[in-house]
Amino acid sequence: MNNFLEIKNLSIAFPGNHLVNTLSNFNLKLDKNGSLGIVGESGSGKTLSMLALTRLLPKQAIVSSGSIDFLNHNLSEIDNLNFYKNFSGKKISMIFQEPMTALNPVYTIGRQLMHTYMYHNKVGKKEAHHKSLEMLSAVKLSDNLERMKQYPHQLSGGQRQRVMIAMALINNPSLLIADEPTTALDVTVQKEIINLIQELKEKFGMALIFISHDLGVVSQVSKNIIVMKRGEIIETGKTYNVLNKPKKLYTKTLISCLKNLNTKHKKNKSKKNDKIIEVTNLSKFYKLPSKLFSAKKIINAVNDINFSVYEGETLSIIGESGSGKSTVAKMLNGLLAPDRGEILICNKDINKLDTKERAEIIQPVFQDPYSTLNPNHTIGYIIARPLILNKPFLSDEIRNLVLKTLDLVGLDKGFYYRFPNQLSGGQRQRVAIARAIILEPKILICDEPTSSLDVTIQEQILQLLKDLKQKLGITIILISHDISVVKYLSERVLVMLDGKIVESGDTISTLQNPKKEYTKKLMSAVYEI
Amino acid sequence: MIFELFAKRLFPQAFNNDLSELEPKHIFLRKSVNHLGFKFGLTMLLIIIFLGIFGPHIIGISPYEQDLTKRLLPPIWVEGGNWEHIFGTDGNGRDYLARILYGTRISLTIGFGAAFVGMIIGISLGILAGYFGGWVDQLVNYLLTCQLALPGLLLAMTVVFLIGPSITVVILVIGVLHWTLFLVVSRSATQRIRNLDYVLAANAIGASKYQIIFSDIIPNILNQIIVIFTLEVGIAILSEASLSFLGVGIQPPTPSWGLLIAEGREALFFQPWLIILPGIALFLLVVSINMLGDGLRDITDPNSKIEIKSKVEVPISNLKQNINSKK
Repeated sequence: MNNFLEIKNLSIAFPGNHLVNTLSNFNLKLDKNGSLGIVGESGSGKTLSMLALTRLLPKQAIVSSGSIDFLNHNLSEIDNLNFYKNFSGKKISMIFQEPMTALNPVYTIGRQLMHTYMYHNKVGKKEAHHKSLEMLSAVKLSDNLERMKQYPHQLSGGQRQRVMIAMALINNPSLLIADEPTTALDVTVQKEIINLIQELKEKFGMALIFISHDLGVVSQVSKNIIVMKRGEIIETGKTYNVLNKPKKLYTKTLISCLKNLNTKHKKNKSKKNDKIIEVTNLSKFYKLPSKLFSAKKIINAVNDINFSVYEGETLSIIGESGSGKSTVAKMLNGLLAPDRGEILICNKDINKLDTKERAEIIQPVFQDPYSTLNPNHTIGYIIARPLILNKPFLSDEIRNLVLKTLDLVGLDKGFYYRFPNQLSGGQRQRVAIARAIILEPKILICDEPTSSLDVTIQEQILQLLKDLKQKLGITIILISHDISVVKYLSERVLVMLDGKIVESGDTISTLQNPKKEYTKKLMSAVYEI
Repeated sequence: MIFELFAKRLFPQAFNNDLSELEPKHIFLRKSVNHLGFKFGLTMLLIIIFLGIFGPHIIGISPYEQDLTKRLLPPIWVEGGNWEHIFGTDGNGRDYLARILYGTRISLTIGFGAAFVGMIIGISLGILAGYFGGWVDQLVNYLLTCQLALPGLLLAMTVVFLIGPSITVVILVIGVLHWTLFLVVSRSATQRIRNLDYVLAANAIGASKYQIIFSDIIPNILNQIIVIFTLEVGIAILSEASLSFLGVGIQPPTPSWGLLIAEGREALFFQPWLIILPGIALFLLVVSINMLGDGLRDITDPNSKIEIKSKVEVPISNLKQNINSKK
């Protein structure tokens, strides 16, 4: 008796100047009812291997070697028609990362579910409808009759992902592939979805392959684990063994990155310095444009919050998407005018400051490394621009300062004439930090500075921020949804929910002994190794 | 080949240095050397401009000199043609080669001039509307709707008829009527860029609105604008042709390609070269401008995938790996 699923020596290449294997010698064995996690950074080939299994590879891709055995069939001998009819969607199902784009926006949920069922089973509409309802309740959605008539945009991200799961399971597959199913979701929702996947796996008795960049999540879900880097398998084995006795250097760094992030911050008894920022009764509303016959809707993005920041400390603002934390960041930076309340920075109202004066006090670092740099400027110019705008320097002086700053953020001086598109995500974020610190501001506002980076890069960037803080004595305000990042860097923390501050205080005591219900929920959703 | 030789002679440092030390202008040069369409378009346009400026002097025949005894002579490759008039003569016995060469000047001036006028109007309105939004946007949209509702050719005819035709008037009128494409494209591109992080970052480092517009927005919409510009040059030349055809453009006896085509229509069946020859000239000009524009877009876009061939083979991916491994 063969294995349930076995992939041998799978290699995939993309045509280019030199034919490089993007995935090389990928091996995998999975039992019926087994579970396997694949961990790796972006570009490590973890998704590619599964796309080869489901025949969703991009057209240019060349499978250069390898064989896939699934349920005693050699998949390479099965033609496309047969494969799509009997395997894909029926025996093998896949859940994708982005629930926002995985559902067709112009059809109702019900129609999409029923279609998936009717395509593989010769049944009438009535039966398909019945089955769809059954699946929706299996993924624990409420008001299902109503849901069937809804369109994807009427559901939240978590609900959409549940629908996706229902759709993947409706034909009772024997293998479920989940490709980063929770990355686009909030932490608390993430926990629910992962629990749901595990539960359904037991209920339907199927095998699970779980792909993620998050070692913590994978270790929860799967018994076996594959660690990948640059298209190669670095390490494989039982999850417990790999995590506790990693053999390869890469796995060790990956684990130590996570552990480092999770270590408790040494509390340096900071003397209470002077207040550098004082926020009183800050509010921001968004008015939705009024429609015919309905009153104007007002959304309270930030609702009457008060806090202050002391010189030299790191303050974190935690919250899920939509909690108003980014709005606060923009208002602190003077990029958005508050509707009510006041922000005093160094005892001056931020909105009355001259932009040049403001630039020398407070600087932002943004989330998305791909849109934070102007693609038409060289790195040198991007970093030099604050100086050119604000200070009458000679060009030689500016160049020297830029090179010094590049060095400070850990970039080679060869980057001076590069364009942003030649840089990786982490390097771009370093440039963004360099641009922010070149004016030697007193305050740095980092809005999710690491959330779109890989774990190892994440740690490097956080380390950099920590170093800079020590060297330059900058006050940092960190906005994040990631508890481990907050723990790693900050001394004080504010928890935000729906535009209000729910809880605030010292990082360690607040996060270890949360008092409010929401903070408890947030903390319980964190996976640690 | 010649292009490469020139480039290497003029900027030797662009071809010898290590890739990481290349300045932007050198990268531009390196990319343009590898872009066939750009080289072809540029070379052809330069030849056309050269012919337009010096051609009439070289052949030394006046485009206005009539000789009614030599009416409608065929060009050299048709039976009955002779070397005295290589492209033959028109209905008034004027040398057709001289008229086409002289017409190059007028068509080029009108094409570039009108497209430039239209570009200035379209981009300024488009960026204002896209960047500031609100009532500015609504006002500009209203202007756009008005412009689109007017029958362009009719308006041009009226204006030219009222003011009186001259090259300047024709350029201005065609330009003022052809800004809508520029406006629509630049407005939507600006709206997209306005909300990106680098504009916020520029705001945070103390850049003023004008600095943001000139340094962050215009360079990033330039790629689209170049393509529209090359299209509009062609369109402007053709609308000059139709204005001339209707008799309100360039006035005879001044030769422009449009006018040549217009005059040739009477003889379409028996002397087809009267239309075909200026038609080919127009075609070559429009094609070369379009190829040049496409090439410029590919080259100036930092995200384009044109290879920078180097003597020292250092692919960028290798550099990245080195940097990563250093960390």
